Amino acid sequence: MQLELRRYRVSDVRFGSTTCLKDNILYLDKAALRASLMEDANIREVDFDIARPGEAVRIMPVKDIVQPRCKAEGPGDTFPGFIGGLDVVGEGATNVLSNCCVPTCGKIVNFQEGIIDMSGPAAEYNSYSKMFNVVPLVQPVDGLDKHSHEAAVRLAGIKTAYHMACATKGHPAQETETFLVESLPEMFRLYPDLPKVAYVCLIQTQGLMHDTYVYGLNAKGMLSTVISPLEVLDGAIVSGNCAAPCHKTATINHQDNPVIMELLRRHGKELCFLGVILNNESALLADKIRGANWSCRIARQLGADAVIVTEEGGGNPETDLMLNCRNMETAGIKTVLVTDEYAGRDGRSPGLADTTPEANAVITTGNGNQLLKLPPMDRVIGDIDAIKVTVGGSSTAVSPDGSILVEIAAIMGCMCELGYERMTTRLK
Amino acid sequence: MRLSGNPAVKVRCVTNNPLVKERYPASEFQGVGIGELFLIVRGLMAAGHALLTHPLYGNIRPDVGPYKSVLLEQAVMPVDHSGLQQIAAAISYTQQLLKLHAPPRWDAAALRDFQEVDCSILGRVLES
Repeated sequence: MQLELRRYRVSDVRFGSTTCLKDNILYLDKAALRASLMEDANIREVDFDIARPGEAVRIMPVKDIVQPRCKAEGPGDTFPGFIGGLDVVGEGATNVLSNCCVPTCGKIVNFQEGIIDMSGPAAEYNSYSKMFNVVPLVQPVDGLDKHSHEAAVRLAGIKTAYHMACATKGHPAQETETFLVESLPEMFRLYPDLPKVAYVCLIQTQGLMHDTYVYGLNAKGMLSTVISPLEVLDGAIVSGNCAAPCHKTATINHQDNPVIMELLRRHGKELCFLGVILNNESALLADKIRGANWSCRIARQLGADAVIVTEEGGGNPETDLMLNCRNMETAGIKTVLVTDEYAGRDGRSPGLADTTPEANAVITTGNGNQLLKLPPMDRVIGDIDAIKVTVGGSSTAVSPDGSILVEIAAIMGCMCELGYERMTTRLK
Repeated sequence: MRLSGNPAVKVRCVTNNPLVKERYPASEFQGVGIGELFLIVRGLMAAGHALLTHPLYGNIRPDVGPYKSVLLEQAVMPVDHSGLQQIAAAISYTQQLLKLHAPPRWDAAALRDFQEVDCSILGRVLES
Protein backbone atom coordinates (compact mmCIF):
# COMPACT_ATOMS: atom_id res chain seq x y z
CA MET A 1 0.00 0.00 0.00
CA GLN A 2 1.21 3.47 -0.82
CA LEU A 3 -0.19 6.73 0.49
CA GLU A 4 0.82 10.29 -0.27
CA LEU A 5 -0.06 12.92 2.33
CA ARG A 6 -0.51 16.34 0.73
CA ARG A 7 -0.22 19.03 3.38
CA TYR A 8 -1.68 22.49 3.25
CA ARG A 9 -0.95 25.26 5.75
CA VAL A 10 -3.33 28.17 5.41
CA SER A 11 -2.64 31.72 6.52
CA ASP A 12 -6.15 32.29 7.87
CA VAL A 13 -9.63 30.82 8.09
CA ARG A 14 -12.65 33.08 7.54
CA PHE A 15 -16.32 32.74 6.86
CA GLY A 16 -17.31 33.57 3.27
CA SER A 17 -20.03 33.15 0.69
CA THR A 18 -18.56 29.90 -0.62
CA THR A 19 -16.16 27.32 0.79
CA CYS A 20 -12.89 27.66 -1.08
CA LEU A 21 -9.17 28.10 -0.76
CA LYS A 22 -8.08 31.44 -2.18
CA ASP A 23 -4.77 33.25 -1.76
CA ASN A 24 -3.96 30.64 0.89
CA ILE A 25 -6.96 31.68 2.97
CA LEU A 26 -9.62 29.08 3.72
CA TYR A 27 -13.10 30.52 3.36
CA LEU A 28 -16.01 28.59 4.85
CA ASP A 29 -19.61 28.86 3.73
CA LYS A 30 -21.30 28.78 7.11
CA ALA A 31 -24.74 28.25 5.60
CA ALA A 32 -23.63 25.24 3.56
CA LEU A 33 -21.83 23.78 6.52
CA ARG A 34 -24.85 24.31 8.71
CA ALA A 35 -27.10 22.65 6.14
CA SER A 36 -24.80 19.63 6.05
CA LEU A 37 -24.80 19.21 9.81
CA MET A 38 -28.54 19.86 10.12
CA GLU A 39 -29.19 16.72 8.05
CA ASP A 40 -28.91 15.02 11.41
CA ALA A 41 -32.42 15.13 12.86
CA ASN A 42 -30.94 15.05 16.36
CA ILE A 43 -29.45 18.52 15.92
CA ARG A 44 -31.79 21.40 16.69
CA GLU A 45 -29.37 24.16 15.76
CA VAL A 46 -25.69 24.63 15.03
CA ASP A 47 -23.41 27.61 14.78
CA PHE A 48 -19.71 27.95 14.16
CA ASP A 49 -16.88 30.02 15.57
CA ILE A 50 -13.22 30.42 14.71
CA ALA A 51 -10.29 30.77 17.10
CA ARG A 52 -6.89 31.78 15.78
CA PRO A 53 -3.40 31.27 17.22
CA GLY A 54 -2.42 34.01 19.62
CA GLU A 55 -5.93 35.25 20.29
CA ALA A 56 -7.06 35.68 23.88
CA VAL A 57 -9.71 33.02 23.34
CA ARG A 58 -10.58 29.97 25.40
CA ILE A 59 -12.49 27.03 23.94
CA MET A 60 -14.28 24.81 26.43
CA PRO A 61 -15.70 22.27 27.10
CA VAL A 62 -13.95 20.47 24.23
CA LYS A 63 -14.95 16.90 23.53
CA ASP A 64 -13.09 15.66 20.45
CA ILE A 65 -10.72 17.23 17.95
CA VAL A 66 -10.61 16.27 14.27
CA GLN A 67 -8.04 17.15 11.63
CA PRO A 68 -9.43 18.11 8.23
CA ARG A 69 -8.48 15.37 5.77
CA CYS A 70 -10.08 14.11 2.56
CA LYS A 71 -9.09 11.72 -0.18
CA ALA A 72 -7.73 13.26 -3.36
CA GLU A 73 -6.99 9.91 -5.01
CA GLY A 74 -7.47 6.27 -4.20
CA PRO A 75 -10.26 4.07 -2.94
CA GLY A 76 -12.82 5.20 -0.41
CA ASP A 77 -12.70 8.42 1.54
CA THR A 78 -11.44 9.58 4.90
CA PHE A 79 -13.37 8.65 8.02
CA PRO A 80 -14.59 5.37 6.51
CA GLY A 81 -17.84 4.22 8.02
CA PHE A 82 -18.83 7.84 8.70
CA ILE A 83 -18.06 10.00 5.65
CA GLY A 84 -16.39 7.46 3.42
CA GLY A 85 -18.06 4.16 2.68
CA LEU A 86 -16.54 0.91 3.81
CA ASP A 87 -13.78 0.64 1.21
CA VAL A 88 -10.42 -0.08 2.75
CA VAL A 89 -8.53 3.22 2.83
CA GLY A 90 -4.86 4.10 3.14
CA GLU A 91 -3.91 4.25 -0.53
CA GLY A 92 -3.66 6.96 -3.13
CA ALA A 93 -3.41 10.53 -1.89
CA THR A 94 -4.94 12.36 1.05
CA ASN A 95 -5.16 16.11 1.50
CA VAL A 96 -4.42 17.43 4.99
CA LEU A 97 -5.09 20.89 6.39
CA SER A 98 -2.21 20.53 8.78
CA ASN A 99 -2.62 23.80 10.71
CA CYS A 100 -6.36 23.50 11.18
CA CYS A 101 -8.47 21.49 13.55
CA VAL A 102 -12.09 21.05 14.53
CA PRO A 103 -12.72 20.86 18.28
CA THR A 104 -16.28 19.84 19.06
CA CYS A 105 -17.55 21.89 21.94
CA GLY A 106 -20.50 21.68 24.23
CA LYS A 107 -21.91 20.04 27.29
CA ILE A 108 -22.88 16.45 26.67
CA VAL A 109 -22.21 15.44 30.21
CA ASN A 110 -21.30 17.77 33.02
CA PHE A 111 -17.67 16.82 33.30
CA GLN A 112 -14.50 15.65 31.58
CA GLU A 113 -14.26 17.76 28.46
CA GLY A 114 -11.27 20.10 28.31
CA ILE A 115 -9.73 23.48 27.62
CA ILE A 116 -7.91 24.92 24.64
CA ASP A 117 -6.40 28.36 25.29
CA MET A 118 -5.19 30.09 22.15
CA SER A 119 -2.68 32.15 24.14
CA GLY A 120 -1.17 32.31 27.61
CA PRO A 121 0.39 29.56 29.73
CA ALA A 122 -2.03 26.79 28.70
CA ALA A 123 -1.27 27.40 25.03
CA GLU A 124 2.18 25.93 25.63
CA TYR A 125 0.68 22.61 26.63
CA ASN A 126 -0.92 21.54 23.37
CA SER A 127 -0.56 21.93 19.62
CA TYR A 128 -4.14 23.07 19.03
CA SER A 129 -3.33 26.59 20.19
CA LYS A 130 -1.07 26.91 17.13
CA MET A 131 -3.81 25.87 14.73
CA PHE A 132 -6.88 27.57 13.31
CA ASN A 133 -9.74 26.07 15.31
CA VAL A 134 -13.13 25.89 13.63
CA VAL A 135 -15.65 25.08 16.34
CA PRO A 136 -19.09 23.65 15.59
CA LEU A 137 -21.44 24.57 18.42
CA VAL A 138 -24.12 21.91 18.38
CA GLN A 139 -27.45 22.24 20.15
CA PRO A 140 -29.31 18.94 20.35
CA VAL A 141 -33.05 18.48 20.12
CA ASP A 142 -34.81 18.57 23.47
CA GLY A 143 -34.77 15.37 25.47
CA LEU A 144 -32.06 13.67 23.39
CA ASP A 145 -30.40 10.79 25.20
CA LYS A 146 -26.70 11.13 25.89
CA HIS A 147 -25.61 8.33 23.54
CA SER A 148 -27.37 10.03 20.62
CA HIS A 149 -26.11 13.47 21.69
CA GLU A 150 -22.52 12.24 21.70
CA ALA A 151 -22.98 10.58 18.31
CA ALA A 152 -24.45 13.78 16.85
CA VAL A 153 -21.57 15.89 18.09
CA ARG A 154 -19.03 13.34 16.91
CA LEU A 155 -20.44 13.25 13.41
CA ALA A 156 -20.72 17.05 13.33
CA GLY A 157 -17.01 17.34 14.00
CA ILE A 158 -16.13 14.83 11.29
CA LYS A 159 -18.42 16.50 8.73
CA THR A 160 -17.00 19.94 9.51
CA ALA A 161 -13.43 18.71 9.17
CA TYR A 162 -14.21 16.91 5.91
CA HIS A 163 -15.99 19.98 4.50
CA MET A 164 -12.91 22.09 5.25
CA ALA A 165 -10.50 19.60 3.74
CA CYS A 166 -12.46 19.37 0.49
CA ALA A 167 -11.64 23.02 -0.22
CA THR A 168 -8.05 21.93 -0.92
CA LYS A 169 -8.95 19.67 -3.83
CA GLY A 170 -7.32 20.79 -7.04
CA HIS A 171 -4.84 23.05 -5.28
CA PRO A 172 -1.12 22.22 -5.19
CA ALA A 173 0.09 21.09 -1.79
CA GLN A 174 2.85 22.96 -0.01
CA GLU A 175 4.41 19.75 1.21
CA THR A 176 4.03 16.08 0.34
CA GLU A 177 5.18 12.93 2.06
CA THR A 178 4.80 9.44 0.61
CA PHE A 179 4.77 6.19 2.55
CA LEU A 180 5.08 2.72 1.10
CA VAL A 181 4.11 -0.23 3.24
CA GLU A 182 4.94 -3.54 1.62
CA SER A 183 3.35 -6.91 2.25
CA LEU A 184 4.99 -8.91 5.03
CA PRO A 185 6.79 -11.35 2.70
CA GLU A 186 8.13 -8.39 0.75
CA MET A 187 9.29 -6.64 3.92
CA PHE A 188 11.20 -9.70 5.05
CA ARG A 189 12.76 -10.05 1.62
CA LEU A 190 13.79 -6.39 1.39
CA TYR A 191 14.87 -5.78 4.98
CA PRO A 192 16.23 -9.06 6.35
CA ASP A 193 18.68 -7.42 8.72
CA LEU A 194 16.54 -4.59 10.08
CA PRO A 195 14.85 -5.01 13.49
CA LYS A 196 11.19 -5.87 13.08
CA VAL A 197 8.98 -3.50 15.05
CA ALA A 198 5.24 -3.59 15.62
CA TYR A 199 3.07 -1.01 17.32
CA VAL A 200 0.33 -1.97 19.78
CA CYS A 201 -2.21 0.82 19.99
CA LEU A 202 -4.53 0.47 22.97
CA ILE A 203 -7.96 1.98 22.29
CA GLN A 204 -10.66 2.38 24.88
CA THR A 205 -14.17 1.06 24.34
CA GLN A 206 -16.12 0.67 27.56
CA GLY A 207 -19.45 2.50 27.28
CA LEU A 208 -21.05 5.94 27.18
CA MET A 209 -18.43 8.60 26.50
CA HIS A 210 -15.77 5.86 26.53
CA ASP A 211 -15.94 4.41 23.03
CA THR A 212 -13.77 4.17 19.92
CA TYR A 213 -14.85 3.40 16.37
CA VAL A 214 -12.94 1.51 13.68
CA TYR A 215 -14.37 1.93 10.18
CA GLY A 216 -17.47 3.23 11.89
CA LEU A 217 -17.85 0.10 14.00
CA ASN A 218 -17.93 0.45 17.78
CA ALA A 219 -14.88 -1.55 18.85
CA LYS A 220 -16.62 -3.09 21.87
CA GLY A 221 -15.89 -6.78 22.09
CA MET A 222 -13.23 -6.44 19.42
CA LEU A 223 -10.44 -8.96 19.69
CA SER A 224 -6.96 -7.59 19.04
CA THR A 225 -6.47 -7.17 15.34
CA VAL A 226 -4.09 -5.83 12.72
CA ILE A 227 -4.61 -2.63 10.77
CA SER A 228 -2.34 -0.88 8.32
CA PRO A 229 -0.79 2.33 9.61
CA LEU A 230 -1.89 3.98 6.37
CA GLU A 231 -5.53 3.20 7.15
CA VAL A 232 -5.13 4.96 10.50
CA LEU A 233 -3.82 8.07 8.71
CA ASP A 234 -7.00 8.10 6.64
CA GLY A 235 -9.24 8.36 9.70
CA ALA A 236 -10.10 4.68 10.13
CA ILE A 237 -10.12 5.21 13.91
CA VAL A 238 -12.53 7.81 15.30
CA SER A 239 -12.82 8.75 18.95
CA GLY A 240 -16.06 8.74 20.89
CA ASN A 241 -14.08 8.98 24.06
CA CYS A 242 -14.56 11.16 27.07
CA ALA A 243 -11.48 10.14 28.96
CA ALA A 244 -9.93 12.93 30.99
CA PRO A 245 -9.14 15.73 28.53
CA CYS A 246 -5.39 15.53 29.01
CA HIS A 247 -5.00 11.97 27.80
CA LYS A 248 -7.98 11.06 25.71
CA THR A 249 -6.85 9.95 22.28
CA ALA A 250 -8.75 12.44 20.16
CA THR A 251 -9.48 11.63 16.54
CA ILE A 252 -6.72 14.02 15.43
CA ASN A 253 -4.22 12.08 17.54
CA HIS A 254 -5.14 8.88 15.68
CA GLN A 255 -5.02 10.63 12.28
CA ASP A 256 -1.61 12.13 12.99
CA ASN A 257 -0.37 9.40 15.35
CA PRO A 258 3.25 10.36 16.08
CA VAL A 259 4.31 6.76 16.80
CA ILE A 260 2.98 5.68 13.43
CA MET A 261 4.49 8.67 11.67
CA GLU A 262 7.93 8.10 13.16
CA LEU A 263 7.89 4.37 12.47
CA LEU A 264 6.83 5.02 8.86
CA ARG A 265 9.61 7.55 8.39
CA ARG A 266 12.19 5.07 9.66
CA HIS A 267 10.73 2.09 7.84
CA GLY A 268 13.22 0.45 5.53
CA LYS A 269 16.05 2.54 6.93
CA GLU A 270 16.58 1.83 10.64
CA LEU A 271 13.79 -0.65 11.20
CA CYS A 272 11.09 -2.66 9.52
CA PHE A 273 7.65 -1.46 10.60
CA LEU A 274 5.45 -4.54 10.61
CA GLY A 275 2.15 -2.83 11.28
CA VAL A 276 -0.33 -1.73 13.92
CA ILE A 277 -2.04 -4.05 16.38
CA LEU A 278 -5.24 -2.60 17.78
CA ASN A 279 -5.97 -3.82 21.31
CA ASN A 280 -9.22 -2.85 22.99
CA GLU A 281 -9.21 -1.69 26.64
CA SER A 282 -12.24 -3.39 28.13
CA ALA A 283 -13.64 -3.04 31.66
CA LEU A 284 -13.73 -6.82 32.08
CA LEU A 285 -10.49 -8.33 33.39
CA ALA A 286 -10.90 -11.46 31.27
CA ASP A 287 -11.11 -9.26 28.16
CA LYS A 288 -7.93 -7.46 29.16
CA ILE A 289 -6.10 -10.78 29.52
CA ARG A 290 -7.58 -12.10 26.29
CA GLY A 291 -6.70 -8.91 24.41
CA ALA A 292 -3.11 -8.85 25.62
CA ASN A 293 -2.71 -12.57 24.82
CA TRP A 294 -4.00 -12.00 21.29
CA SER A 295 -1.76 -8.96 20.76
CA CYS A 296 1.26 -10.99 21.77
CA ARG A 297 0.25 -13.88 19.57
CA ILE A 298 -0.16 -11.49 16.62
CA ALA A 299 3.20 -9.87 17.32
CA ARG A 300 4.83 -13.29 17.34
CA GLN A 301 3.09 -14.28 14.09
CA LEU A 302 4.30 -11.05 12.50
CA GLY A 303 7.84 -11.89 13.59
CA ALA A 304 8.28 -8.82 15.81
CA ASP A 305 11.57 -8.26 17.58
CA ALA A 306 10.14 -5.29 19.47
CA VAL A 307 6.90 -3.45 20.07
CA ILE A 308 5.91 0.00 21.17
CA VAL A 309 2.74 0.02 23.27
CA THR A 310 0.70 3.17 23.89
CA GLU A 311 -2.32 3.36 26.16
CA GLU A 312 -5.44 5.50 26.18
CA GLY A 313 -6.67 6.93 29.45
CA GLY A 314 -5.50 6.12 32.96
CA GLY A 315 -6.19 3.75 35.82
CA ASN A 316 -7.53 0.48 34.37
CA PRO A 317 -5.69 0.92 31.02
CA GLU A 318 -2.44 0.51 32.89
CA THR A 319 -3.43 -3.12 33.37
CA ASP A 320 -3.76 -3.54 29.60
CA LEU A 321 -0.39 -1.84 29.21
CA MET A 322 1.35 -4.06 31.74
CA LEU A 323 -0.28 -7.29 30.54
CA ASN A 324 0.99 -6.52 27.05
CA CYS A 325 4.43 -5.75 28.41
CA ARG A 326 4.66 -8.93 30.46
CA ASN A 327 3.43 -11.13 27.62
CA MET A 328 5.72 -9.59 25.03
CA GLU A 329 8.85 -9.58 27.20
CA THR A 330 8.20 -13.19 28.24
CA ALA A 331 7.98 -14.07 24.56
CA GLY A 332 11.33 -12.39 23.94
CA ILE A 333 9.85 -9.30 22.27
CA LYS A 334 11.36 -6.09 23.61
CA THR A 335 8.80 -3.51 24.69
CA VAL A 336 8.70 0.23 25.12
CA LEU A 337 5.63 1.63 26.86
CA VAL A 338 4.21 5.14 26.60
CA THR A 339 1.94 6.37 29.38
CA ASP A 340 1.16 9.42 31.47
CA GLU A 341 1.01 9.63 35.26
CA TYR A 342 -0.89 11.03 38.20
CA ALA A 343 2.00 11.41 40.60
CA GLY A 344 0.74 14.05 43.00
CA ARG A 345 1.40 17.77 43.03
CA ASP A 346 5.15 17.27 43.51
CA GLY A 347 5.53 14.24 41.25
CA ARG A 348 6.73 12.06 44.10
CA SER A 349 3.79 9.68 44.38
CA PRO A 350 3.48 6.45 42.38
CA GLY A 351 1.94 7.59 39.11
CA LEU A 352 0.39 4.41 37.76
CA ALA A 353 -2.42 2.13 38.87
CA ASP A 354 -0.59 -1.01 37.75
CA THR A 355 2.99 -2.07 37.10
CA THR A 356 5.03 -5.12 36.23
CA PRO A 357 8.75 -5.85 36.72
CA GLU A 358 9.15 -6.31 32.95
CA ALA A 359 8.27 -2.64 32.39
CA ASN A 360 11.82 -1.32 32.33
CA ALA A 361 11.53 0.95 29.29
CA VAL A 362 8.74 3.43 29.87
CA ILE A 363 8.23 6.88 28.44
CA THR A 364 6.05 9.26 30.41
CA THR A 365 4.08 12.03 28.76
CA GLY A 366 3.69 14.04 31.97
CA ASN A 367 2.06 14.31 35.38
CA GLY A 368 -1.61 15.30 35.36
CA ASN A 369 -1.69 16.51 38.95
CA GLN A 370 0.50 19.56 38.32
CA LEU A 371 -1.30 22.84 38.86
CA LEU A 372 -1.34 25.74 36.42
CA LYS A 373 -2.81 29.21 36.78
CA LEU A 374 -4.56 30.40 33.66
CA PRO A 375 -5.30 34.08 33.08
CA PRO A 376 -8.75 35.25 32.06
CA MET A 377 -9.41 35.35 28.33
CA ASP A 378 -11.16 38.08 26.35
CA ARG A 379 -13.58 35.57 24.85
CA VAL A 380 -14.80 32.09 25.64
CA ILE A 381 -16.15 29.81 22.94
CA GLY A 382 -18.43 27.45 24.80
CA ASP A 383 -19.16 27.81 28.49
CA ILE A 384 -16.89 29.49 31.06
CA ASP A 385 -18.76 27.83 33.90
CA ALA A 386 -17.69 24.46 32.54
CA ILE A 387 -14.37 24.93 34.35
CA LYS A 388 -16.17 24.19 37.59
CA VAL A 389 -17.03 20.72 36.35
CA THR A 390 -14.00 19.89 34.22
CA VAL A 391 -11.66 17.33 35.69
CA GLY A 392 -8.85 19.21 37.30
CA GLY A 393 -11.12 22.20 37.86
CA SER A 394 -13.38 22.81 40.81
CA SER A 395 -16.10 25.12 42.02
CA THR A 396 -13.45 27.35 43.61
CA ALA A 397 -11.19 27.32 40.57
CA VAL A 398 -12.24 30.75 39.21
CA SER A 399 -10.71 33.67 41.11
CA PRO A 400 -12.34 37.11 41.38
CA ASP A 401 -9.92 38.43 38.73
CA GLY A 402 -11.12 35.72 36.34
CA SER A 403 -7.98 33.62 36.51
CA ILE A 404 -8.34 29.88 36.91
CA LEU A 405 -6.27 27.41 38.91
CA VAL A 406 -6.51 23.97 37.37
CA GLU A 407 -4.64 20.74 37.16
CA ILE A 408 -3.04 20.39 33.74
CA ALA A 409 -5.32 17.37 33.41
CA ALA A 410 -7.97 19.88 32.29
CA ILE A 411 -5.95 21.01 29.27
CA MET A 412 -6.98 19.24 26.12
CA GLY A 413 -4.51 16.64 24.96
CA CYS A 414 -1.55 17.96 26.93
CA MET A 415 -0.48 14.49 28.04
CA CYS A 416 -1.59 12.54 25.00
CA GLU A 417 -0.21 9.06 25.43
CA LEU A 418 0.68 8.69 21.77
CA GLY A 419 3.39 11.26 22.38
CA TYR A 420 1.57 13.94 20.39
CA GLU A 421 2.76 16.80 22.62
CA ARG A 422 6.11 17.77 24.08
CA MET A 423 5.78 17.10 27.77
CA THR A 424 7.74 14.43 29.56
CA THR A 425 9.26 13.91 32.99
CA ARG A 426 12.83 14.32 34.05
CA LEU A 427 14.28 12.18 36.81
CA LYS A 428 16.01 14.14 39.58
CA MET B 1 -27.14 -10.78 37.64
CA ARG B 2 -25.50 -12.62 34.78
CA LEU B 3 -22.92 -12.05 32.08
CA SER B 4 -24.84 -12.55 28.82
CA GLY B 5 -21.99 -14.39 27.21
CA ASN B 6 -21.29 -16.59 30.20
CA PRO B 7 -24.49 -17.04 32.19
CA ALA B 8 -23.00 -19.84 34.30
CA VAL B 9 -20.83 -17.32 36.13
CA LYS B 10 -22.52 -16.26 39.36
CA VAL B 11 -22.10 -12.53 39.45
CA ARG B 12 -22.25 -10.27 42.46
CA CYS B 13 -22.32 -6.50 41.99
CA VAL B 14 -21.18 -4.13 44.71
CA THR B 15 -21.92 -0.50 43.98
CA ASN B 16 -22.36 2.93 45.50
CA ASN B 17 -24.29 4.10 42.44
CA PRO B 18 -28.02 4.48 43.20
CA LEU B 19 -28.85 4.28 39.51
CA VAL B 20 -27.22 0.85 39.31
CA LYS B 21 -29.34 -0.29 42.25
CA GLU B 22 -32.41 1.06 40.48
CA ARG B 23 -31.67 -0.67 37.16
CA TYR B 24 -30.18 -3.82 38.61
CA PRO B 25 -32.10 -4.56 41.80
CA ALA B 26 -29.95 -7.62 42.50
CA SER B 27 -26.90 -5.41 42.98
CA GLU B 28 -25.72 -4.60 46.50
CA PHE B 29 -25.81 -0.91 47.23
CA GLN B 30 -23.36 0.58 49.70
CA GLY B 31 -23.87 4.22 50.58
CA VAL B 32 -20.15 4.93 50.95
CA GLY B 33 -17.36 6.62 49.03
CA ILE B 34 -15.25 4.83 46.45
CA GLY B 35 -12.37 4.23 48.84
CA GLU B 36 -14.63 2.48 51.34
CA LEU B 37 -16.36 0.59 48.55
CA PHE B 38 -13.02 -0.87 47.47
CA LEU B 39 -12.30 -1.93 51.06
CA ILE B 40 -15.62 -3.79 51.14
CA VAL B 41 -14.71 -5.47 47.86
CA ARG B 42 -11.33 -6.47 49.23
CA GLY B 43 -13.05 -8.08 52.21
CA LEU B 44 -15.32 -10.08 49.93
CA MET B 45 -12.35 -11.21 47.88
CA ALA B 46 -10.52 -12.34 51.00
CA ALA B 47 -13.55 -14.54 51.62
CA GLY B 48 -13.13 -16.15 48.19
CA HIS B 49 -14.85 -13.93 45.62
CA ALA B 50 -12.99 -13.30 42.38
CA LEU B 51 -12.70 -9.95 40.63
CA LEU B 52 -14.44 -9.78 37.25
CA THR B 53 -14.14 -6.08 36.40
CA HIS B 54 -11.22 -3.75 36.90
CA PRO B 55 -12.08 -1.65 39.99
CA LEU B 56 -10.99 1.51 38.18
CA TYR B 57 -12.97 0.90 34.99
CA GLY B 58 -13.84 3.91 32.89
CA ASN B 59 -11.68 6.99 32.87
CA ILE B 60 -13.34 9.00 35.56
CA ARG B 61 -10.79 9.40 38.31
CA PRO B 62 -11.94 8.18 41.74
CA ASP B 63 -11.20 11.64 43.18
CA VAL B 64 -13.39 13.27 40.52
CA GLY B 65 -16.47 11.09 40.04
CA PRO B 66 -18.20 9.68 43.13
CA TYR B 67 -19.48 6.35 41.78
CA LYS B 68 -18.02 2.96 41.06
CA SER B 69 -19.48 -0.49 40.63
CA VAL B 70 -17.47 -3.69 40.94
CA LEU B 71 -18.48 -7.09 39.58
CA LEU B 72 -17.32 -10.16 41.44
CA GLU B 73 -17.70 -13.86 40.78
CA GLN B 74 -19.29 -15.40 43.81
CA ALA B 75 -17.09 -17.46 46.11
CA VAL B 76 -14.80 -19.46 43.86
CA MET B 77 -11.92 -20.37 46.16
CA PRO B 78 -8.94 -20.57 46.10
CA VAL B 79 -8.35 -16.92 46.67
CA ASP B 80 -7.99 -14.75 43.54
CA HIS B 81 -4.47 -13.50 44.24
CA SER B 82 -4.18 -11.55 41.02
CA GLY B 83 -7.48 -9.85 41.76
CA LEU B 84 -6.36 -9.05 45.31
CA GLN B 85 -3.34 -7.31 43.86
CA GLN B 86 -5.62 -5.34 41.55
CA ILE B 87 -7.91 -4.18 44.34
CA ALA B 88 -4.95 -3.33 46.58
CA ALA B 89 -3.44 -1.23 43.80
CA ALA B 90 -6.82 0.43 43.21
CA ILE B 91 -7.15 1.26 46.91
CA SER B 92 -3.67 2.75 47.02
CA TYR B 93 -4.20 4.76 43.81
CA THR B 94 -7.56 6.04 45.05
CA GLN B 95 -6.23 7.05 48.46
CA GLN B 96 -3.35 8.90 46.83
CA LEU B 97 -5.67 10.89 44.56
CA LEU B 98 -8.21 11.62 47.30
CA LYS B 99 -5.50 13.37 49.34
CA LEU B 100 -4.98 16.01 46.65
CA HIS B 101 -8.10 18.10 47.19
CA ALA B 102 -11.43 18.30 48.93
CA PRO B 103 -14.20 16.24 47.34
CA PRO B 104 -15.82 18.14 44.45
CA ARG B 105 -19.32 19.43 45.11
CA TRP B 106 -21.27 18.22 42.11
CA ASP B 107 -24.76 19.44 41.37
CA ALA B 108 -27.65 17.04 40.74
CA ALA B 109 -27.15 17.12 36.97
CA ALA B 110 -23.49 16.18 37.21
CA LEU B 111 -24.25 13.43 39.74
CA ARG B 112 -26.87 12.01 37.40
CA ASP B 113 -24.37 12.06 34.52
CA PHE B 114 -21.76 10.24 36.59
CA GLN B 115 -24.38 7.66 37.52
CA GLU B 116 -25.37 7.18 33.90
CA VAL B 117 -21.81 6.73 32.66
CA ASP B 118 -21.02 4.21 35.40
CA CYS B 119 -24.26 2.38 34.64
CA SER B 120 -23.47 2.34 30.93
CA ILE B 121 -20.07 0.76 31.47
CA LEU B 122 -21.54 -1.81 33.84
CA GLY B 123 -24.29 -2.57 31.35
CA ARG B 124 -21.73 -3.09 28.59
CA VAL B 125 -19.89 -5.60 30.80
CA LEU B 126 -23.09 -7.50 31.57
CA GLU B 127 -23.74 -7.76 27.82
CA SER B 128 -20.38 -9.51 27.41
